[in-house]
Amino acid sequence: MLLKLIQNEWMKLFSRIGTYVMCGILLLGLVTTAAFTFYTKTQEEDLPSKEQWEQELLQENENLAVDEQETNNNYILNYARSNQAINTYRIENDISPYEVTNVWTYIESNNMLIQLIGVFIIIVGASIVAHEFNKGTIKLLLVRSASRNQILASKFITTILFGLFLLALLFGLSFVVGSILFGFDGTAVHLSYIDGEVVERSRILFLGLSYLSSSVKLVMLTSFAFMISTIFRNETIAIALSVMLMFVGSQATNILALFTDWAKYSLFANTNLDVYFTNGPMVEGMTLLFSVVVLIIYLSLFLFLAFLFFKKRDVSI
Amino acid sequence: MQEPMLSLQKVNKMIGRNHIIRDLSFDVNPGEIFGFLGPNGAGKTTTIRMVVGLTGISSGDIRINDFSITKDYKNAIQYVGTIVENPELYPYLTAEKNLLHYARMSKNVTKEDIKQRLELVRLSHVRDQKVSRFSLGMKQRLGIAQAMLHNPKVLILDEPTNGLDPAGVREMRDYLRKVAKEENIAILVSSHLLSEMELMCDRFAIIQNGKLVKVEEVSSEGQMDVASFYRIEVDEPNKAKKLLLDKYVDEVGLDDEIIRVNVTKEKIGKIITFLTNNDMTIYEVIREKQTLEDRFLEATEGEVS
Repeated sequence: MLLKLIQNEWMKLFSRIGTYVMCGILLLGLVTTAAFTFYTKTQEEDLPSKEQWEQELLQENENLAVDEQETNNNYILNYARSNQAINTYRIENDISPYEVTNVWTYIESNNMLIQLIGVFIIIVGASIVAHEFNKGTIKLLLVRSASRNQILASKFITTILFGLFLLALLFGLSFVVGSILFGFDGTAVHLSYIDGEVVERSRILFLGLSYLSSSVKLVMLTSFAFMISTIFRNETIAIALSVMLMFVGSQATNILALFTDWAKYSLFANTNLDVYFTNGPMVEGMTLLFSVVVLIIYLSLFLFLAFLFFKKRDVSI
Repeated sequence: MQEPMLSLQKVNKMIGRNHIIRDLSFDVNPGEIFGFLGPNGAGKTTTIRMVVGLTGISSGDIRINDFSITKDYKNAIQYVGTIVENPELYPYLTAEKNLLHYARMSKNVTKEDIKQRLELVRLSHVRDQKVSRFSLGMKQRLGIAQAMLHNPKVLILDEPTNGLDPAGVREMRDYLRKVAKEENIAILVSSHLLSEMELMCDRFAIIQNGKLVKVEEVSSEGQMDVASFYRIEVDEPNKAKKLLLDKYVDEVGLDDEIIRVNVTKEKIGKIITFLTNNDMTIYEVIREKQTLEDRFLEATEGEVS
């Protein structure tokens, strides 16, 4: 039954113009970044020589060492330490921080389009329930043998699937466009600093991880939008609140982290799972497991409230 | 006596302190169209929402094919097809996809069934058009197709003729009468359009302020043993009045040369023969129909005072 309900939701989603507009805007974004990258791309002859970039990195390390001495903020401390280590590693192993534009740098730069996807799936998550109430179709949806839980679940799952679809579209098309326009020249490794050591990773694995970890934030924000719109039946409020959270949430949490360790329990201190593979967490002592547990608690809370309200309420429109 | 297909048993609904529905009980049998009448705000729509499980019941029970809508929702609701107020369809989906959507939510509905239902409501030629381009009549027909898709045993329609033109109303009426009879479905129709209900329904209930005022058969007055007023136009009214008073009735009205008597159908036949046998010419005999509207007003006014 649930599968058929998801099929239904998918059919409805892709019968609406808005969905195609979203896909179109995403494609437009891709074309824009491709054009921009194409005209500003770095060629072999633009790259600084080994002496030049070594000099730069040494200078940067000096600055970072000063930061490391002066700060007592964990995040800045970690940032300073890990970047020094990576810089030193580059000098020792002759891996330039500069490289010619290639498919990987292009995909990495498209990372910012994930924000756009975030806005889109927030819109879908906020409207997928509210829309049925606006049009009155919720009545015919509920007077069938599917339970209310199943119906709400199908809508949530559809929203998440739509987000994954957009991410896959972005990643896939970035790869195709990037490989055609920019080719595969350049280093295929990514450096990160974990537990006091610099680690070389395959580029494609790193990009996949970073796309996935960006989607964690999207799932959380979408669940939030979904909850608000189910409770208040108002997509405008849900979209506004969620998009606002998306853009200021991380910064607000960063500021909060300057004052108190309690910040580690806030949602946005934990949405960026990247940090465990790169610079280390915002507040000292946080671990990947801790973040995952906090995220699951938030997710459960959002969904629990959404289901509770959806199930209890009399439908009187 | 067959088992009722839909049965309301002492249903109450409270919203906050307001007692919206009080001790409402009635049954709808298979094959009958049951009218549910009442002025605006009487609680018709609330009742219908309770029947289909959109709204909770404060006390009492509603049983569909003997399954309780509160305790056994899944079993009960599978026998129900409904249009609550307007046919709520997805404007951005085509007619066929709208039906496909609901078909996926029911067991055992095939593509073939969708095709048949579309044909039955004469929408086959526009099956690939978006519903947003449909006229109200077409939407209403698609709504019926949607409600009938899973072969329900109870059809619940809230104001089904709202906004339809006379031809549409007539078509709807004929269709409902047909499915009630042919598929032996129990149909509950709510409306405030009394003349319409009179033509469509077999029985009706009147509710006011959330209370049941009466349940009646629409056609009761046409039966042999039920008295009605008859007007008789005859060539010698005064003589006829005298003869009738002697022989048949206690009271005879005479107004503008027209005789008016209150008798049963059985008796009016005898009167006609009697007058003819007494060499009088009868031009016309008319039964004064008490319309549903009269009965409705009679019932609801009595309640107010």
